[in-house]
Amino acid sequence: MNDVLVSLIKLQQIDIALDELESEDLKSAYNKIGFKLKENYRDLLEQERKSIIAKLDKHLLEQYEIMRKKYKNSVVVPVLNKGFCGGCFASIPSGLVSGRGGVKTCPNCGRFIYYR
Amino acid sequence: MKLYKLLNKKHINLNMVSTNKKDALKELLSLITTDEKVGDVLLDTLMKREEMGSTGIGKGIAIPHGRSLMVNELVLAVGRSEEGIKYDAIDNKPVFFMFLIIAPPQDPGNQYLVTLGRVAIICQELLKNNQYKKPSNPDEFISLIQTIEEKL
Ligand SMILES: [Zn+2]
Repeated sequence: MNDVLVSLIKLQQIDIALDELESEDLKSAYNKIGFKLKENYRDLLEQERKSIIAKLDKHLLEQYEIMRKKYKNSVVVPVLNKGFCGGCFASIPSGLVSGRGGVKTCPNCGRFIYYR
Repeated sequence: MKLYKLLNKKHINLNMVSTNKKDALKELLSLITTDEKVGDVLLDTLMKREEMGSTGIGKGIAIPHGRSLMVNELVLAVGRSEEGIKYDAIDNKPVFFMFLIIAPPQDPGNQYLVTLGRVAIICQELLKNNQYKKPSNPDEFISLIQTIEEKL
């Protein structure tokens, strides 16, 4: 897993967190349990997002943002155990060559893929 | 849902040695993964969450949690410390018991939040009569959770 891919993964995680922290389900769970978030929690995430973006290749970022409109929070997805894209479930060829930044993308849907 | 069924005895450390938050999270994560990069991303995710507000909910309990692309299913880990962990908890008291929850982004039925709520309830039960101090090994710990859940 190279550093570019790690940055994309972190970016995806931040976007997921930004969305989820606004959800009523999470808010009500937090209230019940007694978790308290700082007033500026959103700013902290936005700052982190900015610092990741600053280091990311601008073409990759563009690709990420375009796909985000289409795929929401599943732009960066795992390759499932038998070699299928975790987003569109198309089969990922075993000899797939890495693209920009050494990151692989699904030949069918274009999502960034990673192996774990 | 039954929490004890989700527990894996390999993910339970009843003799934690860490005395601060970051080390304690690392110590728990080491139960879950041996991959350094995966561990780093998970640690980063959990520490960022802590920056937004401590998951130390008081009375010596912490429930660090987050979603991560690094796991493909819900993962739990449990840690207990005799000495106490400096955790910046909401009551400013040290943490003696940690319940870690990491969930993948896609999560049918929002098992993540359901589990989070369940863990919080069980933690309150574990505090009664300091029950969490009693188990001497992971198997005993899981049995204790099962006993608690059967009475709930
Ligand atoms: Zn795909």
